[in-house]
Amino acid sequence: MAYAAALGDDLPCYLDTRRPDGVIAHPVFPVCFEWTAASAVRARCRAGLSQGEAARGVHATQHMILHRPLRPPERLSTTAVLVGIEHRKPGAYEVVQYTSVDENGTPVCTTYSGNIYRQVEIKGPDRPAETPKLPLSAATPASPRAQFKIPIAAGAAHIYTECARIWNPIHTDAEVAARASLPAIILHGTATLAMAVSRIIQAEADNDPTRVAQIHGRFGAIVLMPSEVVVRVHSRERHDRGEAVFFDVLNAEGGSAIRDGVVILRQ
Amino acid sequence: MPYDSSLVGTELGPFAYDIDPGWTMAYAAAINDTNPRYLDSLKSPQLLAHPVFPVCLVWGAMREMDRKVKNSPLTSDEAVRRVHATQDMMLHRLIQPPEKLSMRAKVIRVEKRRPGTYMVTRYDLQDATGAAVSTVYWGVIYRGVDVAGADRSAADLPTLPAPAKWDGHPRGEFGVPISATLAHVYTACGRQANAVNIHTDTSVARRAGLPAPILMGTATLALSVSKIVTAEAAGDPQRVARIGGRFGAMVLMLSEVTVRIMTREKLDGQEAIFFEALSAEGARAIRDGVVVLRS
Repeated sequence: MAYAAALGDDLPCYLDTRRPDGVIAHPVFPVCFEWTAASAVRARCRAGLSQGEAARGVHATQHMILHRPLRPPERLSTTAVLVGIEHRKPGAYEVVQYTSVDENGTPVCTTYSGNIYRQVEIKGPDRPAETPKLPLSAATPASPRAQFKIPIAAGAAHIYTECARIWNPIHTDAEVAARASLPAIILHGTATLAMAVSRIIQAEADNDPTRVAQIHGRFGAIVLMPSEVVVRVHSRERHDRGEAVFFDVLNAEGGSAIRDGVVILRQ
Repeated sequence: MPYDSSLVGTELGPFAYDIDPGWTMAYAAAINDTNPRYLDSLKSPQLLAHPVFPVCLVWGAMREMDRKVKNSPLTSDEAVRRVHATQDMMLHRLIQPPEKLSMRAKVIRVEKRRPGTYMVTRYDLQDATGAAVSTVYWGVIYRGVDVAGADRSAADLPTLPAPAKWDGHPRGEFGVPISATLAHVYTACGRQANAVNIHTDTSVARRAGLPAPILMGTATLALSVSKIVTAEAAGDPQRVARIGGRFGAMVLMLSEVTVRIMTREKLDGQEAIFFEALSAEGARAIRDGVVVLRS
């Protein structure tokens, strides 16, 4: 409930405990419990890096496959596997696969999360991750199908941090952000993604988050606070796995905060 | 079952707390207070906690106190009829994260009042050197619950100052939007351990006879104090020496609260700001509100 609240998403399916089937979690919520596994993976992967190199890691890509909605209270377990490392122009690109299962061992969600270590070389040959293919948009229309402005409050990152239980001071501590050569604290990429997904659920899925089967995006431009982002829904196309909604998110300066965004809806 | 007044004098603690800057920053962010003294570690190398932040520490101690009360003859139905009625906070200084603090709790008063049993617990917050940081008098009413035994008191209860005069014209009024999700955000950012309650859970709120989840009184108080610090203390929260008020009408979400500053008066070398907070329906969510500023 707190996660949805942090996004300003007050759909009853997230917050109203009187519902016969109970509440469900926001589709992007798995990033919260994956965070613990992510911290463990980072500690191991970054062991061979200097402190300066490790600090240059940024969240670059996110691909979430949601096998079913999450219905709290639930006990889940998450396994993290480093599935790929390759050289990219900005630096070393790593992909970690998080697999979360319920108490029966049934998959709940699978996430491929990519990080770029800027200006860091890789040792040995590229070992790119094998990740599921995503549908490509047949054509990007000249004008968006819909667009939504989202105000980003000055305290949005502090609130998201506590409500998601994701503690990374680059988002909340101005001094830490300055040391990382950022102009100020920045909003979490997953917060921007979650806000965009909320808008897409409202506009394209009749306020039904259980229809969200997959979410993908590449993180780019930073989102400062306070500011405003614009979610642009470019197209909606039938696909063999459902309907694909293609979107991007622009920051207040017009930079692409999220590009190649796709939400796949179940039929 | 009646409330056992022999609980007066019950002491609990110390409860140890590690106050990290993330916690205090999130608390300020939850009430949309962007004062750099709370949030900006570059402009304010020593960050401060919002003056109402100590309530987050009270919640932890209160859980233990609740267990004591629930072990008394109160039924669970009676125990859930508790409402926060009064608050009086003496701020000897603001919390400066990171800090290690400890809190002791003591039941200092139980008495029969018309709506039920009134109980006041005093929470004393100390730093690592043993110096007092804040003292919180937290009064609750168990609606419709009788007292077993005589009214009892283990310590004096300070009296809230009242305005000498008010001409009926507000000194200032501020509309404060209350978002639909504020109680959830306030709960998470305050790190309230017992997160499922009348403020966040529709089912629990309905069982307690409420129309919907209601905003915490301390959240309304904190929103009011933020406005007063900005308008009356030039944005300097360190001037806040005392905060008091009585909680009344509920604040629903989504809504708006009006913070009405009635008057400002000299008070024993300090300055007292008298205020109230009105719910969207115009009822007093906080009455007899006072913020005492150091000169």
